[in-house]
Formats: sequence, structure tokens, C-alpha cells
Amino acid sequence: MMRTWWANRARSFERRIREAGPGARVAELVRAREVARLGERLFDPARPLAWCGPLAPFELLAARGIAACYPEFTVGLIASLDGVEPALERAEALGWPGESCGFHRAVAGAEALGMVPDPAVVITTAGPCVGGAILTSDLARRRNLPWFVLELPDTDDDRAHAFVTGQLRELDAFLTRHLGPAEPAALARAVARSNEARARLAEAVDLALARPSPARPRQLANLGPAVLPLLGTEAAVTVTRAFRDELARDRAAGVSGVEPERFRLAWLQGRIQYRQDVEDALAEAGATIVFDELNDLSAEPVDPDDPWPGLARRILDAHVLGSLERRARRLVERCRQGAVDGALSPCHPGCHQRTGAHGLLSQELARAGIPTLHLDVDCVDRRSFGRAVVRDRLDAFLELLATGSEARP
Amino acid sequence: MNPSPVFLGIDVGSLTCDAVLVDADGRVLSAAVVPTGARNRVAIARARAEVLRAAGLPEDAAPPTVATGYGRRRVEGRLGAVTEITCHARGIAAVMPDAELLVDIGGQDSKAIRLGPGGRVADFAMNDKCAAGTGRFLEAMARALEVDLDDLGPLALRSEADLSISSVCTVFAESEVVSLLAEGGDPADVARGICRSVAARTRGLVRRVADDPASLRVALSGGVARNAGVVAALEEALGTAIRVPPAPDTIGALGAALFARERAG
Repeated sequence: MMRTWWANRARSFERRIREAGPGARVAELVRAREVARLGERLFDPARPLAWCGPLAPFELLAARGIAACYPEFTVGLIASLDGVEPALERAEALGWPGESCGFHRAVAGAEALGMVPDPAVVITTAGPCVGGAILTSDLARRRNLPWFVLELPDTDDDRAHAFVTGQLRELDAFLTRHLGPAEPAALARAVARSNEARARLAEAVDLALARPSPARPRQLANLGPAVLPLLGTEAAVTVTRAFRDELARDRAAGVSGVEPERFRLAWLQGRIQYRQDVEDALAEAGATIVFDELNDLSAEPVDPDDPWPGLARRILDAHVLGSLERRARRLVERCRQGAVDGALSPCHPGCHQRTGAHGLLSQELARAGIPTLHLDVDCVDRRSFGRAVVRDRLDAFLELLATGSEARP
Repeated sequence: MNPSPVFLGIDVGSLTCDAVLVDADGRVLSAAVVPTGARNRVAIARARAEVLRAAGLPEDAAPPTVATGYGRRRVEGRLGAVTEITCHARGIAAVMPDAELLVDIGGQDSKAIRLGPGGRVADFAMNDKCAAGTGRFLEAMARALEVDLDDLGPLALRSEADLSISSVCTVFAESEVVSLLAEGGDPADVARGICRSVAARTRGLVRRVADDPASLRVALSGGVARNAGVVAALEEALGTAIRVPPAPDTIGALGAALFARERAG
């Protein structure tokens, strides 16, 4: 049933793209179509599926024609349709604390309810957070599934690169044992597609930093996270190229994402997945998101004929790994590039990954003259979203930015 | 002769609706605090009528108005709507120009505002999603102690006990108070525990905008500033003297009136 549902959605987006005609702004529809097509593949019982951590080398799966997803992505799909509540309630009935990360809580509940597709293999990545690693490990153990753990060191030196490179070769052997081999040419093609998708994404990210930014407040929301499980496929190239082209056209025509552009903001970590009016409120106030931290994937090309060291470097380069100082440095650099006025940081107390990072990141941004608004929200559990409370903080933050800009020489 | 211009600020909060009328020099002519109740439009009209009457102005006078508070968008005929964070900062700067940090504890939210020059907001933090540690919390605790809200502070000052009350949830804290009293606890000790609980929660908020609050000149506004028990507990928690302005519950409305004066000018 789910497979048909996603297939219908994909067809519906395809129809809307055709109806929009050439030159129309359809990048968001293209992404929605490709994500729906992935949904269709994920729920196809005839096709094996890999459940991975978000830092897995998806290119290895794409080279084998294996559909892959990661828990946060799957729940994001459900949450964006406002359908995650039964899963959250089920997880809480199973003993998950209501204050734990909504993503992982929802996956646990959705799995118990049979709302998520069954995996053939599990690839746990020991990052970016403990919760996701525990979740996938638990799934593999309970279901007695073939399971690979990709250990990810917190350092970014030669030893770490060698360690991860070795593990990637082992992972390839593991996949060959359980899902069949990847022909070298197929792997090279997947890597080349991933290189191209990452390059186009990086161009889109750079275009959004322009002044005025051609990006509308929600346009680039969760683009990086949506592209991750598509990496290595033509779909990733199609999606990233659509965004790059659209932003490039608007930039060339001098189009501003909000008119007039009063505030340029950065968004730390993931966007809120369910329907809410934060971005609408931003647009009303003349504010747009010119930089999304999760869209800033490494664009360093990987050698298609010897991909292992390059893939390892890319994984270790992820901003959610490594030292917080490195992450803060990159964030500040990007914010300066984009002349960012302020940053929005959704930070749920149950998020292992964010709760530790928020303080340091906001401190470093403050040193660069960029204030941060902490939004206490869970990005998938809408039950904890207080509309008036969030709106009040947002309004006050925009007032703070306005008086700050008046005070600037 | 044209009457002197006046400017109105209205702060539509969850518990009270406050209004302040100022003259062209920013001097306060009159102020009113009325319960918001279920219909904030009625409360807005009442607060407006009260300040106009107290200033000797006709009820149909329509001074330039800026609205603030949760219900700010419900105020008709306003020049603008400004959040309570910005208005409180502006208001406190008018009465305590040297304040560096403002703590405002209102009906259902509390805020810590780091003040910049001229009453600008340099940074702020608000309580998250929960009314524990706010005016509503104290109301519930006073009910559980069976004392008037106004008597809670003086009662707390009679104790030196180190009792602590959970501030995680208002409802659970109420149950805790009831069971402490049922076990024979001294109401004064419990009252002090309640004030310390509010102070502990507020300290956490303050720390989000100031590493060393003890080194700052701290002001306290909001209705809770009238509670001497909370003021004392907060002084202990922050390690610094807390200054309370003469009309702590109308600081937001004062800030709004001053914005009305600026915008109309």
C-alpha cells in the first residue's frame, strides 16, 4: 500500500512539474518527486533495502542498485506529512521517554507499527549521534539482520583516514557477501554522480549566500539531508542541478528571495519537519535563510577509480563529526561569507548531538557579531511546538537584529 | 489651545493587561493594571479607559499607541506592535538607566534580558514552554499553602530553612507542597522553598545571557517583583543586589508608551 502511495505522489509531482512548464521554479517539486520515487523503491518488497546511519557511503549501495535510507530521513518523510504522532505515541508506550530525540523515538514507534520498510542489511554509523547508532544497532540485533558498524573517530588526521578507509573496504566486502558485488564500473559511475551532485549542491549553497539572496526562506530547507540517501544515483544530480539552475537564474535576474531583504539568517542543524509558520513569519519580516548548515556537504571530488581514501575523507569531513571548534570555525566562515545577520538554532534537549554543541557554536557566532536565537523545539514532534511562544521569540529576535543594524555605523 | 500630546503603551499579558500614558517628555501621567481574563479586548478597553480617566482625558481620546505582550496584535488602532522583550528593555532603561540586566517574571513567562546602550536588547532568554517559576506558579503555590498571593513573600522571609521544591512542573510542585504540609512542614519553610525554587529556575535563565550575573547591575520587573521572598531568594541565587523599580508590573507598558512617543514624533 505504501509503495503505491509513494508512486502516486511521485506521479502527482511529475504532473505538476510538467504543468509548470519550462523556466518555472520547480526545484522543490523535483526534489519532492525524487524523494517520493525513493519512497516507492524503499517500500518495494521485491527490492532489498539498507538501513544506514546518515554518514554511510551511500555510493556503495547505489552502485549495487540498492535503495537506502537513514532513520532521520524516513521519519522526516512521515513528519512532513504530519503523520508521525501515532509512531511517537507507540514509542512512548514502549518506554521511550517523551524528552528523548523525536527522530529516534518516532523511528522506534514507526518500526513497531510496521510503518517503515523492512531492511535486508543494517549499516550503523557511530555518528553523528549516539541515539541513531543505538537505534540501528538495536534494530539489527532484534531482527538478527546482517549488520555492519562503521566506527567513526572524532579526529581528522592520517590515522583516522587510514582507519576509515580500511573499514570502507570491509564494508564493501560485507555488502558483496549479503547483497552481491558492485562492478568496478558501476561503482565508478556512482562516485562520479555523487561528485557531480555534491558540486551542484555546493554551487546552490554559494548562490544562496549572494546579496540579495535569491533563496526564499524555505526553499533550501533540508536539501542536504534529502540528497544524502540519493548520492550515487542520477536522482541526486537531477535534484541538486535543479536547485543550482533555479538559484542561478534568479540571481542573474536580480530576484530576491524576500522583498525587500532586511535580514539574512543562518539555520543551524535541521529544519522543523512538520507544517508550521516560522518561515512564513520570516518572509513577512523580510528575513530569509541564506545558509543551512546541513546543506554544507563536502564537495571535495573523489577519484572514481580509487574511491576508498576519498570517501573516507568525505565522511570525516562532515561538520557533525570532528571537533566542535572545527564546526564553529566553518560556520562562522560561512556566515561571514553570506553577511549573515543572525542564526536560528533549533535545539531539543533530547538531541545528544545539538545540546552539547549549541553553547559553543552560539558563543563563537557571538564573537563574530552574529547573535543566535535558540528555539526549543523538537523538529518532528509537533506536540511540543508552542506556536505563540516560538513566534514571540522570533519577533523579539528580529527586533534585536533591527536595533542592532540601526546601531551599526 | 491644543492639548499637550500624550502617548499610550498597552501590555496585554496572560494575567494582566497594563497601560501607561506618558507626556511629550516621556513622564508617566497615569498607569493601570487590570486582569486580562478570558476576553482580552474587554481588558484592553478597560485599561485604556482607566489611564485616560486618571490623566483627566476624555474616554474617546485616541493617543498614539504601541502594543506589546502576547495579545499585542489584538490592540486596535495601534501605531505598532513590539515584543515585550524590546519594550521591557526600553522601559527599564527609562527608570534605571544604569541597569545591565533585566529579569522580568510575568504571569506565565520569565525573561532575562542583557541590556545594551540606550535600552537596546543585547541578548535575551525566555523560559521554555513551561510556566514553572512564573507568576502562575506562585499563584498555584499560594493556593496550595492557603495563603493570599501577597502574603507569600512576607511568609517566606520568616524562614531560614533550606527546603527545596521541585520547579520542573507547576502541578507536581503543588502536589509536593500539599504533601509537605500534610507531613507537618512549617508553611514559612515551604514558602521559602517555593521562592528559592523560582530563584533557581530564574538563575538558569540568567546564566544563558550572562556568565557572571554577580558582576552586573540587575533589575527585576513583572508582578513577581512585588514578592519580597522571591527578591531575597534571587539576590542569594545571583549573588548580587536586585533593584526593583517603583512600578515593576508596568515596565513593559512604559516601554511601549515610549516607543509610541518616538514613532509618533
